[in-house]
Amino acid sequence: MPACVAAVVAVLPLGYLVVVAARADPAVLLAQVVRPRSLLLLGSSVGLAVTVTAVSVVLGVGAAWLIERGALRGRRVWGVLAALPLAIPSYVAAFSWISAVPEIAGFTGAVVVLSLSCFPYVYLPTAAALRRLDPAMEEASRSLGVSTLATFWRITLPQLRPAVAAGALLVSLYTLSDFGAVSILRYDTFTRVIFTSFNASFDRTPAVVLSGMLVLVTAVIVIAEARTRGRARYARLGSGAARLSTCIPLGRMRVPAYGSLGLLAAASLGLPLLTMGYWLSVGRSGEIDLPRIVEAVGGSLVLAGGGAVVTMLLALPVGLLAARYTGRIPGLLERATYLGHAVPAIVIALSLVFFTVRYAIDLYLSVPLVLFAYAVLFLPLAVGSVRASAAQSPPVFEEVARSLGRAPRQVLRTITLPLAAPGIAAGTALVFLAAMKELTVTLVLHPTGMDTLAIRLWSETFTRSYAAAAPYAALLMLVSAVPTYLLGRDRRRTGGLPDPTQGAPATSGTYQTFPDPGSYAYDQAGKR
Amino acid sequence: MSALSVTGAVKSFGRTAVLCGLSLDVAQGSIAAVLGPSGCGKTTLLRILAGFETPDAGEIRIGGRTVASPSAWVPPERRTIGFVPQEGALFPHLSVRGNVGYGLGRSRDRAARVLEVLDLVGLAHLVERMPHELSGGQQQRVAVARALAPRPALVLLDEPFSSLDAGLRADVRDVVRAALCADGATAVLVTHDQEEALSCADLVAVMQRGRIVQADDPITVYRAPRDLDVAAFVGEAVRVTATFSGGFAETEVGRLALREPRPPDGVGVALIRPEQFVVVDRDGGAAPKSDSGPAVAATAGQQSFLGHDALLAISLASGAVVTARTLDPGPARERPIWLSVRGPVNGYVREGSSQRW
Repeated sequence: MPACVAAVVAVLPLGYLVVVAARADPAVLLAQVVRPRSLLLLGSSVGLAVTVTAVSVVLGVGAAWLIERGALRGRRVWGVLAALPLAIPSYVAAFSWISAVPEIAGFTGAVVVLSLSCFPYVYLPTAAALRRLDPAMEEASRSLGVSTLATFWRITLPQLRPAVAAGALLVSLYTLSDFGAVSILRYDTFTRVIFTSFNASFDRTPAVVLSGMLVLVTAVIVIAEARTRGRARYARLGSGAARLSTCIPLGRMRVPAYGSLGLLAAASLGLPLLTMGYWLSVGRSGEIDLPRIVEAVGGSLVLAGGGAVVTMLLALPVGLLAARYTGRIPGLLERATYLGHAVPAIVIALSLVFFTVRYAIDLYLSVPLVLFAYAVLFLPLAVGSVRASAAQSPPVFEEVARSLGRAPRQVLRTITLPLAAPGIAAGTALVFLAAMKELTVTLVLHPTGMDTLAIRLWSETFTRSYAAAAPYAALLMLVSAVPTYLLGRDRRRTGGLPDPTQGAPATSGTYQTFPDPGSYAYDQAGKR
Repeated sequence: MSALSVTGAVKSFGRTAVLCGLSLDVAQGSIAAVLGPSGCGKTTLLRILAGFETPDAGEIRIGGRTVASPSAWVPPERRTIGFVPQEGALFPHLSVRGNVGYGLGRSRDRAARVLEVLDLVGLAHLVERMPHELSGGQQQRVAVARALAPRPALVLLDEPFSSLDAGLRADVRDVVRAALCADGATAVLVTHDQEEALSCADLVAVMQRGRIVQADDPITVYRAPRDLDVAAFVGEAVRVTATFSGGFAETEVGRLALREPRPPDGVGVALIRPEQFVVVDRDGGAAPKSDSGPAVAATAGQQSFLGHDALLAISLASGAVVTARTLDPGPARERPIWLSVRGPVNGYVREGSSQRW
């Protein structure tokens, strides 16, 4: 029953959009859809998504193979560097590029910025899959006389396919729903035009029609993703410590290998940091407005903190239900909460505007409305972490507890929740940080006069006062770096665990609260 | 009085029938082992007894109370059972004390009972440890103590020793068996390991294809298996063609006395355990006398050394091969030997027959 509340929350925005569209005159809608402008937008959005996805796959798979399989010095450092671009929100990266190279605005800029921001979505799951892969298979192939490169094509790549596909679909989804970066880089896609047409006119039909088209395109991608996930089989190695695969000596290819990884790190991390440092030093001469910064930090903390609590409270019942019961209804409820994941933030924001203007004008541009929107956006993140941590403690614990005479409610309190607690805490923190960085929904729905870091960065960049924007960019990068740092630390800790086969596997082997890097990347898609 | 009585239990998952009218009675204070190959439905049986699954039909009574029948259903927490899962499954966030005391609620003698049951498994000194600080065998023993603590009417153990390595297994098994006996508990353990079942239990229930095909004390199950399938499952079984008449089986290895109940006169199969064979080196001279008449001439074949004893393949005159258990290093390959049989054997009308005459 409480799970249903979360599902209703998640379905409401999109549901309302459908209602609005259904009530409009179909002829008017169709006229809007087939307008050359709409079709042009469809082309430019899809074109950008396809290009960014292709570039990200090349960068991500290449980096993963070099780092996991190539005999490089400092593998761990390269691994962290390749994941770090996730810590830079794409609109912050866009800010740094356009302030350094103004002529990059447009398609080129959008491709460069989004690819460099998104390739970790491919890199992380691919690298994780490479680590999990049984090296015996590659060794068998090599022993049969097949070269390194041919082995990669014929043996390794097919097994990486599910991981790469999942990452690629995330990238395309992210690109389609990205609003901040394309706006700052002045490249017209659905999201940017929806926002401007909503801001510019009282006629909401164009915004609704474009939103509908955007939702359809993302729906196609989500369905494709679900299909590849359903077919993918993840072979798990035994519970013992996985054997490390041997590295492949790079020989003459060593210099290009270091060079390309270095270039990637310089473009995705070095440039944003450098420009930010430059503008910060320029801005010291008086453009930094400290009280304003403090106010923006306060606004961000209030909205993100409230959003994290509300989202987690809604997510708990759904996550626990999904971890324990497989069936039509729990599955449906869980799917429903994942809508926020698939529907672009601009669409959610817009439909909430329409909804409150019509039915609840008191809530229009209020803090509760922003929290509600955060809940819709970040429910997948929270449900995912609750579900994962609850699923990691096997149901046998609950069965034993019941056999010892405890009723289901007591079992939930004394066993299930304490075991899931680390995951619940991590999920809340993830939502908090994601909400701190959130731009689109906050921009559209925030109460007038309330500032957040993201809003300040956006408006300062919009008026091209880059020096004034730099402190906000720096703070946002700091906020985003926290989960990335935690992820890296957790992975080191997993490596240091004692051999799980020494104890009973059920307790020391299965009970781990460390997030899988792949699923982490998946969760991170909530940030927009 | 039966502590546990199952009558006609039926359970299927989708179209797969797992339990097909299974019946079983376990006496108060005894340990029963349900022995069966993987996939025969043992674990499902245990989960139905615990109340984690509902049977499609049939009745289950624990301590004289009906806990599952077409008209009654008692949830797991009110069945007064103790459940020991395969790998112990100690709650990882609770200490040994917290784990063992979990089922005791807030009763006054809680602390005393925790120490009492931990003492039974010899781990009272580890009461403050966390589960991950225990070895596999210790975890298993704590899991048993946790199940015993609330004085359940029935303790259920799901392959409790299979996750331990061979050296540890026998020790933990003895400790657990002694603890169950000392606490006067009735226990049902499921296992696929016949040695575990035969050595641990007062009652061995052999399960095949969703039914209990034989439930007897361990010696009867081994010496007088109901049919050849059971015979082969509980130990090495040698089958030789025989003609039954007047309480004897005429076979290629001699005239063997038949154990009760005897098969009707006619052609059938005699079951001989490998340890019943007596092997003597043949250096000319007359055949030695034995229970089975004069020993027959045969030839030693391949020997598999097992440590505590060895299995020796023996070729008979007809070309048939039988297996004998030998204690000392047996005769070398291709050596001529004398072969005879010690003690009575079992006769079955035909191979695979489920009915014994």
